[in-house]
Amino acid sequence: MSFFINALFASMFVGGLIPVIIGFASYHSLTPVKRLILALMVCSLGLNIIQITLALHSIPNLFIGHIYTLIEFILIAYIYKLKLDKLIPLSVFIAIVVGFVVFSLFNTFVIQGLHANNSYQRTLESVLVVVFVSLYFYKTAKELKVQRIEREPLFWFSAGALLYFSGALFIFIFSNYLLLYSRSLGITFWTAHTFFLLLFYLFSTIALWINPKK
Amino acid sequence: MDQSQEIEFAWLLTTGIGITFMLAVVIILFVVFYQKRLSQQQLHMQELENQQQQQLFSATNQVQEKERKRIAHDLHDDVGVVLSTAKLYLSHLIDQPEIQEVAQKIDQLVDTAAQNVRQISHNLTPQNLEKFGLVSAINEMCKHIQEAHQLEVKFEHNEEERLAFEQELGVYRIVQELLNNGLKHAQASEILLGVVFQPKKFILHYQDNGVGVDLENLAKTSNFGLGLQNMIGKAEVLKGQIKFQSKPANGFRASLNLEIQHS
Repeated sequence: MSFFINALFASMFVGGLIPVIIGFASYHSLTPVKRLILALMVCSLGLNIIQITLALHSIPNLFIGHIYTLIEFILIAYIYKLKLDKLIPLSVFIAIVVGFVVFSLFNTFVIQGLHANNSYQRTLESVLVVVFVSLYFYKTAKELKVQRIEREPLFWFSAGALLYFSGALFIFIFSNYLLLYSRSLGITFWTAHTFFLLLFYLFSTIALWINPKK
Repeated sequence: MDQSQEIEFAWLLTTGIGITFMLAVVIILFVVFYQKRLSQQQLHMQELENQQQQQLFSATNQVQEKERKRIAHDLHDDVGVVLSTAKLYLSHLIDQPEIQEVAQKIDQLVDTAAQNVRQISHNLTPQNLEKFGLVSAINEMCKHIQEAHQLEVKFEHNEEERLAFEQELGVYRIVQELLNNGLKHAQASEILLGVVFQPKKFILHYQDNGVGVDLENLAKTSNFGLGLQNMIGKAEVLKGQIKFQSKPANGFRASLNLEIQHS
């Protein structure tokens, strides 16, 4: 079983490393949106490494999830703020981000605790990201400014985010329950989560790789 | 949690994950296909719009040519006749010694006016073009420019083939516009023109040693910019392609490619 878990860790590490390499290889030509995607991938890789290291040394690592979710949501919200500024007023964006940060802090220190799995925070994040992605798709289809959607970096990032956050939504909702009552089921569904995460990394790599001007 | 509960829970969770994941896939596919279809529709609409614009341009051109022909005829038949009659009356006055000097001057002025009318009429509808073809008409145009503006205009061509008159007229107007630009805007001292008749293709080359122009920054509102737009429009009506090449202080080049339509 430990070999299987190690393989999961290794795939998360390698999967997270590829977009970071691709992003830094073309850093000077990256657009602001691509730089934010790269920042997200760097945070993801960094916190993954810390989480894996702590896990390998049998040190509790669940508190990393609270911090990572907060950073991840702020970066994703900023990416969509750049693209949805005409659809969602700035004040609404600020209210969403502030509301999420307040809820996260409350969840971390009051509701679930720093050393518990942050399932509520992840679930709320997933729902909000799915809303942002849906609004982005709606805007893209309505405005028709993009001639070739397969060459649009944010489309690939959004597709990856939608697949990851909607696929993993149920896992986030039941994550505490899974880990608490059935270890084998927990591992099975965290494997599924890793699959969705790798998809997200793959789509983010494509987003960082493609150039719409070509 | 006993085993049956575990299986039931796993089944429910898998179904939930499967449904949301599939929903996400469907949404992404829908966005891709919807966007592609709308883009294609937009492209189609743009093509139709371009076609309509081309038809409009063609119709405007035809009306313009008709009007040019009418004015040329009026000038030649009416003003030309009036001037000839005036010259006839003047010939009687020239014989009278007391007004002979004035009469001679008037006679010269009438001659100049008649020549100008002929020239304007000819420029409006190149008779030469209809009768003898493109090479002869361009040759004559080059000769006139060379005589009037003290600049070298070289015209090279291979064996001529007659094209459909609309094509010949369109090419003639483009050459007129190019030479006009060379004279007015480029301040060129040397112009090189060449036409090549191939079995199915007609090629026109233009080159001058004038001041050149930054084509990218050329304001659409300027006269020169409008001239270029006009030539592009004419080339589109002829179903041909015109390309311009120029840089400041580096002369101006143009090339026109057409599929030949015979008359």
